Amino acid sequence: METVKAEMTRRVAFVTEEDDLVQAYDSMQALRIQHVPVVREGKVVGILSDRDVLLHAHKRHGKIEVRTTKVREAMVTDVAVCSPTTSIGSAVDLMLERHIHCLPVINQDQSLVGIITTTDLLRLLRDREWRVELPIPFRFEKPSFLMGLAA
Amino acid sequence: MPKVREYMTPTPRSVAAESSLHGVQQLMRHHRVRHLPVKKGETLVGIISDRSVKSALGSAGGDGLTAEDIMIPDPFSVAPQTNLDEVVAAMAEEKYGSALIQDDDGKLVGIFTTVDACRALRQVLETFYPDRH
Repeated sequence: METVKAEMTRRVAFVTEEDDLVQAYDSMQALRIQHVPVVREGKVVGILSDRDVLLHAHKRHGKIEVRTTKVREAMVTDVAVCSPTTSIGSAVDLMLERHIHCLPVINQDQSLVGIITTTDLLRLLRDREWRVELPIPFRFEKPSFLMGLAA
Repeated sequence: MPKVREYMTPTPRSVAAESSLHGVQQLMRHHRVRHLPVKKGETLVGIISDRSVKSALGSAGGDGLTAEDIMIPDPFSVAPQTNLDEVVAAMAEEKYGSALIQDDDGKLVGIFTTVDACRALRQVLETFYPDRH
């Protein structure tokens, strides 16, 4: 079984609820990421996407200006998560069901250990070995007429 | 190697370049889609994501803006017979949310989004690991 552990990103960028929203957005743009977990004392309490920021912002002279200042005011708190041992299939199902593009990965004590995103899944699909050798679904047997010829 | 046409969403919805921003937003909400190709007549000219819409709505409410004002021109597009791994590789590398599928005549025949990619991956897992995914 393929698990999230093998495909997740382990060095996860994160923010805290009290971080400045514009700084968080600028960091996401610089890192080319679209989601960051929001962490309090090592535990995930929310998720912030660039879409969430844009909903609270407007652009002026190419720079965004926000109506709110803290990450806390724009983050989503209803966060779907998974564990390192979650199967890839279950993670994909959860993303499709919730219409989301990432899952923070947490361990047993709820602390953040990684993140898996649709970009990771695209790479997994890209690297998939399509010419898998499937087991042959029958047993070889000597054809009886050949046995007769041999005799 | 499977082709992108096997996993794309055929005959995707699109908007006219002159559509209002609010019309685009309503269409996205109604059909629950995050990407809409933009056409001028039958010619594909761009794509709008929900990110573009949210960004534009933040700018003074987006009054007076049209699809053409907020679209991303020259969207990533491929032929239906393109290998799936090539398409997903480009999407992962460039962080594209979708690929538009155009036939030899330039006609828009499909769209392949990250949601379609998730479904493709799901199908692969079910095919090769039916009891273990």
